[in-house]
Amino acid sequence: MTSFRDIPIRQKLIVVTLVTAGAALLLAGTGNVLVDSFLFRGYLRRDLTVLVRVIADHSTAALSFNDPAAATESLAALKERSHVSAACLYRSAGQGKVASRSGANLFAQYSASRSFTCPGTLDGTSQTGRVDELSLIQPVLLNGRQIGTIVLFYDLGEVNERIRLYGSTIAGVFLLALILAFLLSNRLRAVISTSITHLVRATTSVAQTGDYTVRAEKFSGDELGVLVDRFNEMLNGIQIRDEGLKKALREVDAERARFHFLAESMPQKIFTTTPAGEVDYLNPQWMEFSGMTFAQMKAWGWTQSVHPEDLEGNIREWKRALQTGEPFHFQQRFRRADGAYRWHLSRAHAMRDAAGNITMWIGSNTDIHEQKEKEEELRRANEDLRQFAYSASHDLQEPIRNVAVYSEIIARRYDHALDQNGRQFLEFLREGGHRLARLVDDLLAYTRASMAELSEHAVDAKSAMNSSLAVLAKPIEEAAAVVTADELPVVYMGDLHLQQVFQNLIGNAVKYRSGEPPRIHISARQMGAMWCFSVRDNGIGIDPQYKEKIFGVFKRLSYDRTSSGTGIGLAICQRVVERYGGRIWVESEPGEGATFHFTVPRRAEPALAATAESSGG
Amino acid sequence: MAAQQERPVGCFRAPWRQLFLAAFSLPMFLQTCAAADAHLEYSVKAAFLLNFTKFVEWPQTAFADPQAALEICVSGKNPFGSALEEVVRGEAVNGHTLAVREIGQAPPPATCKVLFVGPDVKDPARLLGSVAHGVLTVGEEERFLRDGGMIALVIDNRRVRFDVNQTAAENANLKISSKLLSIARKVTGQP
Repeated sequence: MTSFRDIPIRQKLIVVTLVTAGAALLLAGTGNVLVDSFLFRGYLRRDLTVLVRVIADHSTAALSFNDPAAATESLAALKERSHVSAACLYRSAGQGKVASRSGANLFAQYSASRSFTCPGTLDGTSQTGRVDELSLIQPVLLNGRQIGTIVLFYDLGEVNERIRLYGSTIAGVFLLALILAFLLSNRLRAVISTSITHLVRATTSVAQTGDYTVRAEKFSGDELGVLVDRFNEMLNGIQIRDEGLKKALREVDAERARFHFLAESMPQKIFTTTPAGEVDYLNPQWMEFSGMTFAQMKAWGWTQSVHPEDLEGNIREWKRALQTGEPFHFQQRFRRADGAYRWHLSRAHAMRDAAGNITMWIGSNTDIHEQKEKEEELRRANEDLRQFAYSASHDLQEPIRNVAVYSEIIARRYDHALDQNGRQFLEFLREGGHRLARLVDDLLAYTRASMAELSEHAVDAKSAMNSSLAVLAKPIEEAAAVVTADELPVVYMGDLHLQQVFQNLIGNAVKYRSGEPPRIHISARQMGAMWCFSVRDNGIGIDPQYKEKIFGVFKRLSYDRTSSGTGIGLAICQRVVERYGGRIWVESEPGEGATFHFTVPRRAEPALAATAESSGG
Repeated sequence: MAAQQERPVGCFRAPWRQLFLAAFSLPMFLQTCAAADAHLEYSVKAAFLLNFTKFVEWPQTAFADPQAALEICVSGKNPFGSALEEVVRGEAVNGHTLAVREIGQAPPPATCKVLFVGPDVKDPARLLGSVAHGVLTVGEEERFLRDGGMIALVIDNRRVRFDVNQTAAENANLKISSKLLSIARKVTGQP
C-alpha cells in the first residue's frame, strides 16, 4: 500500500479536503448534539418543575380532603408528557407541625409503565437507582404548611432519542457534505493540480527530449505561478547556455576543420604533440613523405625517420624545449620514403591556457634541403675565392716589390741616361708599382678580415682606438685633424679586428675632408643587446644614393688625387662587423659631414651562435 | 385528617398494624372502619371543616381586623365531641386564628365565619335565613343544600364526601376554590 506521501497531489487535495470538511462537520455535529442534549436536560427539568408545581397545587384539596381518586386523576394528566415515567404523591404524616419525609405515606401514583410501582413510604434514601431516570421532589404546600410531597420521575430516553435523531441527521449531513466536498474538490483541485500537472509534463518533456524551448504554462499568480515563472526563467537560462554551447561547439568544429584544412594544404609537415611531447597529430604530408603510417609515427615513432647522426641532438633539444617551454628549433635530416635523407628545419611552439599551463605543442618541419645545398655550394665557392685572393695577393707581393725596387734603382742609377720622357714613364711605373703594392696589401687585409679566427676576449675599445690613432698619426698631423672620444666600453671581439674598423673609419674621415680641418668624434651607446659605436666627421659627406654602395669592394666615390686609397677599407669594416653579428651603416648629407655607426654585441656568446646559425641556415 | 392516622383508633390498634395500614390506602381503612365507628366519622368531618377554611376566601369586610379570630360555630348539639377543638387548636388561616364556639339553638353571632348546622337543628332553613353575609354554612345530608346551605357533608360509598351549592356561596360573597370544587361529589348552581 502506498503511503499518503506518495499518492498524486490531486488525490492528496481530495483527501485533505474531505478530512478537513469531515473533521469540521463531525466536531460541529458532536458539539451541536452535546449542547442540545445539555440544554434539553435543563429545559426538561425547568418544564417539569413548573408542571410538578402545578400538580402539587392541584393536589392540595385532594390531600386535604383525603381524595386519592381525585389526586390520581390529576396525576394522570402527566400521561400527556411522554418523558415522565412516574409520579408519586405522598401525604405528610402528622398535622404538618413537624413534617418529615420519613413519615410520609404513598397517597396517589401515576406510572407510565406497569412495571413501576412507587415506594410505599418516602424517605431520603429511596431515590431511584436507575441511571437514565431523574427525579424531581416537590413539597405540596397548603397555607405555607407542607401537607404532602410529589416525587416525579422522568427518564432521559427522550434525550437519547434526540441524540440518536440528531446523530443520524448529522451523519446524513456529514455524508452529503462529504459527497459535496468530493465533487467540489474535484473541481477546485484543478486550480492547483492543473498547474502542477502541466509543470510535471513540461519537466518530463525537457528531461526526455532535451528540448529547452519548452515552456510551462502559467495558470495562477500564487506560489505555483511563481514556481512556473522561475522554472521558465531557468529553462530560458539553460536554453541560452545550451545554444551558446552548441554555437561554441560549432565554432570549435569550424576551427578544427580550418586547422586541418590549413595543415593539410600547406607544404610544411605539421605536427602537434601532448604537453609530454608525444605526437598526436601529423598532417598527411608527413605520411606522404616518410611512407610510414600515422600509427607508426605517432608518439615517438617519428624518431625512426630521423638521420642517426641528428637524432641525439634532436632528442636533447626537444626534451630541453619540453622542460623549459621555450620554442624548439632544430635542423635535421628526415628519411624520405625512397630512403634519401633531406634536411628539414623543425620548429615547435607551446600553446598555453589562460593559467599559463602548456596544453599542447604545435610544430612544423620545413624542407630546406635545396637551400642547404646551395648554401653549402656558396660557402665552398667563397672559401675558394678567399683562398685564391689570399694566395694571389701573397704571391703577387714579390713581383710587385721587384717592380717597385728595380724602378727605384733605375731612377737612382740611370737617371742621367734617361731623357725627359723616359723619366716620366719611369715615374708612372714607380707610382703604379706603389699603388699595386698598396692594393695587394689591402686585399690581404680584406682576406685576413674574412679568414682570421673570431676572438671572444674582452677588449677595451678605447685602447683599440688609440692604437688606430697611432697608426694614423702622420695623416692626422698633416690634415691638422682634431680627434675626440667619449668613454668607450669593453667589447668582446678581436683586438686587431676592432682596431682595423676604427683605423679605416678614422682614416676615411681624415681622408675625405672638406676645406676645413677635420673634426672627428668617436662615441658609443647601448642599443638593445648591442653597443653602437659612432664616428662623426665634418668632411665632404656622402650622397644618400651611395649609402649602400660604399661598402662594396673597390668602391670609391672620389677619385681625385688628394684622396688616395684603394676603396677596400669600408668593405673590410663591413666584413668584420658582420662576422661579429653587428652591422654598419652611414648617416650623411652632402657637405654636412658623415657619421658611421656600427654595432657589436654586448656579449660575444649569443652573437657567435646567431652568426653560426645564419651562416648555417 | 393526618391526626386520625396518628391516633390509634379504629379496628386496628396494635403498633405494627400501623405499618400495615401505611401499606394500604387510607380509603380502604375508612371503608373498613368508618361505619363501625361513628366517632371516627365526626373526626373526619372535623378535619373537613378545618380544611374548608383553607379553600374558601372570605371578603375583606368579613373580619373586623386582620388579626380577628375565625370562629367555627357549631349550632345545635355538638356532634364532634372534642375532636373539632383538637383539630382546630393552633391552626390559623391567613393570619386568623381558628376557634370553635358552640352556640346551641341561638342565632349565630357576627363573629361566626363558619356555621356548622348540627343534625339536631329543628329548622335548618329558618336558621340559614338568619345567617348574615360572609358566613360559610356547612351541614349534613343533601337536603341541607335545598335548605339554602352551601356545603353538605355526605356519606357516599362509606366515605365522607361533600356537595357544594355555589350559588349560595356566591350570594354570601364567598369564593370557593376550584380545587375544592374539583373534589366535591356534586356542585350545584354552577355557572
